Amino acid sequence: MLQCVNLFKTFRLDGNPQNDKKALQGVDLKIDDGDFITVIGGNGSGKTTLLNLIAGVFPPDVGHLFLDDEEITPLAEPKRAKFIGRVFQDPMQGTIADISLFENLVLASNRAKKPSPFRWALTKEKKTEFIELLKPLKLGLEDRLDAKIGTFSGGQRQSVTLLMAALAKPKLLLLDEHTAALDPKTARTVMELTDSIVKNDRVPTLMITHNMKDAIKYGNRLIMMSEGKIIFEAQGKEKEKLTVEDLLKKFQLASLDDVPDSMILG
Amino acid sequence: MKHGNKTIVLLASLLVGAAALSGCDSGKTKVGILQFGTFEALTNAKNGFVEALADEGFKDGEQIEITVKNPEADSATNSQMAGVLAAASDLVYGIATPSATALKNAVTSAGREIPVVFSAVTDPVGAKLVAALDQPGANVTGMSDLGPISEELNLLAKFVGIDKVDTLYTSTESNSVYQIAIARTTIAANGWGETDHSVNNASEIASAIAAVSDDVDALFLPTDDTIAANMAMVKNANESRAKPLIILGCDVGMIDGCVIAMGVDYFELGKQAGLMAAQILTGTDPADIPVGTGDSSLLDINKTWADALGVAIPAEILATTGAEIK
Amino acid sequence: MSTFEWQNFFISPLNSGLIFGLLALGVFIAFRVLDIADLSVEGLFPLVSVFSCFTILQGWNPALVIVVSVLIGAASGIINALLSLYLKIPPLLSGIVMMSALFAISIIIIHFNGGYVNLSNVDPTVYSWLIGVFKTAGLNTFWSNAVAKIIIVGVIDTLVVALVYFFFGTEMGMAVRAAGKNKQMARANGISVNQMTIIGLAVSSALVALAATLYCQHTLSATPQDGQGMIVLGLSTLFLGETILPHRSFKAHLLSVFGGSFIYWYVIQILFKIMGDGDYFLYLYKALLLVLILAIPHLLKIAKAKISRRRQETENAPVR
Repeated sequence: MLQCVNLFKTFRLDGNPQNDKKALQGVDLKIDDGDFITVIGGNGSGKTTLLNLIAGVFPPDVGHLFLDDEEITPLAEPKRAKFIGRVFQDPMQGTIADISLFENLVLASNRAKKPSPFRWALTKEKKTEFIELLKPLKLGLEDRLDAKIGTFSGGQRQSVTLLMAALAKPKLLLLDEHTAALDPKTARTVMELTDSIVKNDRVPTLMITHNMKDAIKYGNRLIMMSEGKIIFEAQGKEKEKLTVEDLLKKFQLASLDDVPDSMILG
Repeated sequence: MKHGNKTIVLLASLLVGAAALSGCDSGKTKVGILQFGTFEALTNAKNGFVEALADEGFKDGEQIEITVKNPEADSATNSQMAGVLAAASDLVYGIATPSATALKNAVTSAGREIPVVFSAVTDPVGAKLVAALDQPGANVTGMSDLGPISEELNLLAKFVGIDKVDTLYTSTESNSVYQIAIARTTIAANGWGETDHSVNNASEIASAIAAVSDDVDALFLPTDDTIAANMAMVKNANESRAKPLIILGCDVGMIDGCVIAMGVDYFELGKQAGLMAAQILTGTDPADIPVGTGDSSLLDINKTWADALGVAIPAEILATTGAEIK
Repeated sequence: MSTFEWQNFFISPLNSGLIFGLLALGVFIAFRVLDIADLSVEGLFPLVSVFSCFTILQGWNPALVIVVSVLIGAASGIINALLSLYLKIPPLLSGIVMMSALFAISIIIIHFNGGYVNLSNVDPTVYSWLIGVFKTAGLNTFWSNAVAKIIIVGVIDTLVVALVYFFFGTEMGMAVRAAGKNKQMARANGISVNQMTIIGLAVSSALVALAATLYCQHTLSATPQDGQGMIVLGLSTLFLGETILPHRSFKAHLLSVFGGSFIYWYVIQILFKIMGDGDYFLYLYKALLLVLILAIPHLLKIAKAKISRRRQETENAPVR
């Protein structure tokens, strides 16, 4: 159970304080076990900064983060990675192209442990385990365990990154527009995979998406961000009843200038 | 076949082909020369050697076959070339300490015991080339280029108003380090103040000379390949000084940038080494040939430049018999 | 060619290939696995070789010299990494700083010893004992030296390759590889990139140091100039191996790096044989020959493609 309290983050872009980017201006968020939260907002609304703060890429200027009532604000990213899984927008970022699928999965599965120079990592048991893991996806990946990730398509790499993020049984899953770089058909496949993982592993998930239809369809909560603040939230039945037009109206009410076309076209 | 394997087959056939290419044995005595790098001093030492051999009746292409290899100061190539020469020659000649050392070790590990002649090595005993200068004791002998450092520095005593002497050398050249140690002892013995500067490469020479403080009167340069090759820089740097230094050099080839140069002529040194080689080829045992030093009565004086600098050379020095005054 | 020439022709590059294979491996870990252009090699190599000869002259046991040399290498790698990670000095620059510092120390040692640290024939090296064994067994000088050195360096090389291969398959080794290839992914997978980089550079420099100490005990001499061109040598052997030999798996990659070392030294040996007397174009010929060798796989590929395309055209030619 994650709790964000009063998060502020400002970026100094150049020497001039007037050009500072106020990415987050007071965000409070509580993610309970069982939550699958979709996050929408225009460019620069602070969604990715929020995710980065939770992941520990940088510390907040003001505010605190608690995981299961324990303060995690001072923890560095690798330490938080032990209980947080992440998928990035860029399919190239979540995996290492030069090494095999098997080796990538091994790295992810050892995430919670301190790496030992004496334990052989590429064991046969792990391989069997991974084959069983990959079979249900029906993507044929279980036959390509020794192939270098660089030979996989973008959609396959995102599926792999998703699996890797969920592999070490994290306490929180962070998805940052992870289908945005994929073609519609592949994006659909990855979204369905995401949904099934979240439901089966019962892992609390925070998902940024630019696709308003997906934001409504998936998850039990929806939050809308603008200019560093959460401006709208919907849960449960109220969320199910939302339409894309509703959301657009809310955007305009918040006088959001840059609503990307991709959001409207969904 | 994978392309990697094809390449290996190609290489292997090149190997055998090259070996075969070497042709049949001509029956002539093979002399292998390893010159550490392209420096004027070393090239002179090579030319002198070849000329002396020819004068003694060992002409290249007639009685002997000379092979010259030059690793251009690269250590690993130096070792590799030494191995090739040690295997192929009947007598080898190493110019400069690294080449002489590599040849000696290559000959020993090949188990051949062929004669090794060297020149341009300042401290043959310290370099483990010979056991003692007067009795080399094995198959190695040659010419040391240690000049009359003390004598030359003592010349300074005849100048007026010498209080401090500086030394300049290239820190990576073992020969220089050895000579500077001798120089410093002599400087101290004369009661002068002493400072020293070292450079890693030619580009630092100008700033080193500029860094010599104004109360220093003279600068001593050992036989140093890098500095000898860059005497123009030395000259310029000295001319730019408020108070020019009286520069002493140990290699007469350095006279351009020196007021006095006393000691070694590398061409002559090479000739002496060539004479030794001729002796060995006619049957003398290298162990019986003591290590030689250059004819140290050579004294070159660059009066033209001294006058331009405003340095007065004592008449006594100018009157030294055999002194060549430029 | 005489027997001696044949012997030297085949054995000398073998010795060099075995020793410099370790250098290539060290350079491989820094440049390929960690993606760091580590120039400290040019200073580390002469420091370790001068140190080794110096300590042997002081009477140290050669085996101890090797152990201490490897530790010096590891220390150098650690300091190099710390400089760039914690003082935020760009890695290229920190390598240059290390190179200058280590080079300076090697000069100090040389001066301290009067200008030379050459070993005489009777000074003990790591090879001495085995050479003695073969000589007593009746083998002649050349073969005693050759076989002893090949065995010792060969055994060391095999152990090192096995250890390196094993290490990079462990959890820590995998973490080092991840830290080198994709820092963001590594961090997102719980890996401390800084710690792993330090470990990786330590291993890389330790291998370079091992090559240096074996080399100076083989040539019986060491000067501060020994480091000149070592990076170029290491990289040349690395690229040569990768271009010519297959390296799909990590194991194959390790072996191809070693293979490159052998290929390089045999190529140079061939060059010496073909090259004329006193030829000053050595370096030009070396460059041309390397270009030729590196181009062969590519040219063969093009030729193969042409042949198969022509065959396809004749097979699929419309029937008239």
